[in-house]
Amino acid sequence: MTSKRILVAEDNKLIQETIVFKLKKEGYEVIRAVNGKECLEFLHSERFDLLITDLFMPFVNGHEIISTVRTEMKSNLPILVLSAAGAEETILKAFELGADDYMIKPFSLSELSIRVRKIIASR
Amino acid sequence: MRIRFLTLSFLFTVFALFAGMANIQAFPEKAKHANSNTLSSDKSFDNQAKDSVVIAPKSEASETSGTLEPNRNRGTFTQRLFPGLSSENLRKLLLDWKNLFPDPIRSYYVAMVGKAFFFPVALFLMVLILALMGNLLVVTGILFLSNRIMNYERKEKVRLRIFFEKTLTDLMLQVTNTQETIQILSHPYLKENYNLLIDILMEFQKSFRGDADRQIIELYQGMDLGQISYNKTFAIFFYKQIQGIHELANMHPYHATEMIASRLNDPDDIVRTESQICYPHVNKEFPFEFLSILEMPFSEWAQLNIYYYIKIHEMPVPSFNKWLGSGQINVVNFSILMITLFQQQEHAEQIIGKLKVPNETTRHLAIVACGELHLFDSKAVLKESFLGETAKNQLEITRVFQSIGDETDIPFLETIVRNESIPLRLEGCRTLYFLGENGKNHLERINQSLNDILSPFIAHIKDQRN
Repeated sequence: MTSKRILVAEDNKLIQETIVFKLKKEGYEVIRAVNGKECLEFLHSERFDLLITDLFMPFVNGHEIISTVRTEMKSNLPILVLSAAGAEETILKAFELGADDYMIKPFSLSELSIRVRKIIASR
Repeated sequence: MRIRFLTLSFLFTVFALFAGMANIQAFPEKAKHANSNTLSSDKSFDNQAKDSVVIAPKSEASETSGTLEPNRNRGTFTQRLFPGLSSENLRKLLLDWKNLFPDPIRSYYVAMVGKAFFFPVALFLMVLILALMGNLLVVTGILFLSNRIMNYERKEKVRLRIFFEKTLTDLMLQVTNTQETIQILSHPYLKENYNLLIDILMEFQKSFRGDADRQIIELYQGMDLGQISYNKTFAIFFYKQIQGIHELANMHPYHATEMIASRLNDPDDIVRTESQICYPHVNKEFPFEFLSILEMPFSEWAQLNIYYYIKIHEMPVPSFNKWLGSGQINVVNFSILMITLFQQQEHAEQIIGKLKVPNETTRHLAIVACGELHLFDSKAVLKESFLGETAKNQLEITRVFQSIGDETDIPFLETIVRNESIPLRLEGCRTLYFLGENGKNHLERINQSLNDILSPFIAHIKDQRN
């Protein structure tokens, strides 16, 4: 059985590395993107089973990425938002644009792992 | 050409230094006379050397006559410094070296040697050039060395950062346990870089919570890094003190509470503010106890941070009435604000008591509290104090009657609408309008009696855009 492919779009190197190691340890194939532009390039060229994205990144922010995936690409790719922005409007906007889940930083790695498993299993 | 000139100037400065020390020109006239001869010929220099004099201690004759006389008995400075070396010999030696230089520069060199022996100003400039060039060399050397050192330190820092992050990630992902990680990080070489390790631990703590947070704190305390943070709080620079306070507050070592409490009244504003903000972090059981011991100002920034920390973490709050009698006006104002925000209506009497204090801000906050907490008992006091209040507080009193006013307050509001300034009249109209049907009717009657002067106010109030 091929392992699920996850794209992690996060500009904070420390968080990105930790998430990647954690998910790889759980058997996922993880691709990293350091900014929004790179994330969109990966999304257009490759197939993924889950996108984990931050909201505030260089070049293209997370809201635009979600909007592009849902409207332009018309994809039902599961999207998990991982952001320090905890304001209600920001969270609601992410869900309205099509995000499937939202986690606020600081976050628990165990919780992330469970949410990833749940989202992938539900698709 | 420029390099040749610089090299020559350098050499010329060195030679002139010795020449100047050996033979200083005392009489400008004599220098002029020497200069008027052809300087390019060696013979003229020989003659000038014979005529040159040194400044010597005054003899009796010179004291009476007011002239300086050559004193050849003690010898020149160079001769005293280097016995056996005379200025004449030195000059001849310098002139002999003219063959080392190419033809175009040779005459220039000879001229410079000649001038150096006769012009004190030139001597001064030579010394200056020498000093500047020496300084240039020293500075260049220092810059070069420091650049090398900085590059080395930067690379080393990057390497260590990668190592620390990898080690901590292994700990968080349970590749290693806390004891093994402590062992790895206890290497003597790494001990010099524990400040970097603490910075990385803080970054991890900001990004992760749950098990990761617990492991980071365990590691921090297991390696006794609290001592380093504690020592930082006594640093000369305030930014290091703040760093130490911040680290201790987030990592919760044993002595954080005591240390932070000792800084709550620090004379430095920033250290004090940081301590005040960090206190609730370390004393979750009694986060506001520090208000009782505050003697220095309690800044608005600290107040805001503490409020948001309490709100976000949903921490239990005490009754703030116990600080309403504090000697610190900031503490009193903060307490009134907190009573308002946390809707502690049981302190109505004390709040109403604050409507008559001398401090304007305290009165203002108390007026706002009366409205927010619906303190109907405050109406009489508010009406009584209205005329003696500042414009800002009068506006607030008028606004508050929207929450606590009723039909019995219409006459009071009518006086405001009829007699006061435009902002007050507008607010009075608004209060009357939102007092119910009776209020609206009364407002219309007043407007008619004033020949529709209030119509623009009423239109403004009714406009949905406002």
